[in-house]
Amino acid sequence: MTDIFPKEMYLDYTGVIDFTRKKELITRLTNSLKGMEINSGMRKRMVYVLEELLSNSHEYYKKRELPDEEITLILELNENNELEIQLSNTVLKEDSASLLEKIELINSLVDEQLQDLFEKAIVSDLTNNFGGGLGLISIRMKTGAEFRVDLIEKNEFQNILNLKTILNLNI
Amino acid sequence: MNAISLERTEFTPRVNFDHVNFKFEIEGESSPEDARHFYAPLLKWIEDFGSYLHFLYSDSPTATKRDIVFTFHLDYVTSSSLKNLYDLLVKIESLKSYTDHLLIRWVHDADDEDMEDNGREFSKMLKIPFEVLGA
Repeated sequence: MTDIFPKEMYLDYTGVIDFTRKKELITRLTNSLKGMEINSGMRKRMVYVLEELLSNSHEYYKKRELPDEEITLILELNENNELEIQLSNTVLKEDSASLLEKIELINSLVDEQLQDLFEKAIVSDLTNNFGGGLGLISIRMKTGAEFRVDLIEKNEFQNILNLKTILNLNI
Repeated sequence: MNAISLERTEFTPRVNFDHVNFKFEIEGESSPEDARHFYAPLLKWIEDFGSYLHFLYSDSPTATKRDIVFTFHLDYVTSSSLKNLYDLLVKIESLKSYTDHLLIRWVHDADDEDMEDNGREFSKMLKIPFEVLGA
């Protein structure tokens, strides 16, 4: 199989996240895609997945008033032409259990159930509910991949949440 | 009431809501920093348009009701925009008592499955005629 991306295509960022930085990271991704043999629909899907993941972290930090907390983002292309996107961010321990529960719920659903949850999230106002909102549901629908998730203790009050998704670029 | 005419920006779509010429279009990208803030005036405009039509037809009960077609041609939409677009579509749905022909025309780029899926999803969720067209 011929890779459609050179192996050096990746993004690596550690720092704070806000709207401007989010858009800068997206621009870095789109610049790295220039000249690549990939249709515009897939390009937009890649941007969408990245944007929604970053938005989740950004919105969570805003909601919990943690503007100085950082994220770590790594985008890598594996040997199967799948884009692996890993995002780490701080979460309060008090939020960790419900957050994991929501991600596990999204992971456990099949297509039709995801569709139902998506509709419920659109109709109700779950968009700002970190971990249960449209962003993660739609990422799961667009990638078809379950999220890989783990928590690492950071300190007495906080954990680090590592969230990883995979987008198959061969489709 | 006044028409809404917004130029397309890097992260917001072009909007043309013109109650005089009955042109209703949204076109471009929707990924603003605050989607609720961007869409709030559009939601309000649809409410005002409903009131405008109500008075228009109350004053002239025999007047022919004009067709209302809203065209959405969006090439990229974040989830928070999607939620606000749904709210906008629900508002538009409420206009159906003021016309015999209310239509949502959802146009997507031919190779953009995701925008097509969004249109099909909305068409299932709403009770108004809804066209999903590849351009």
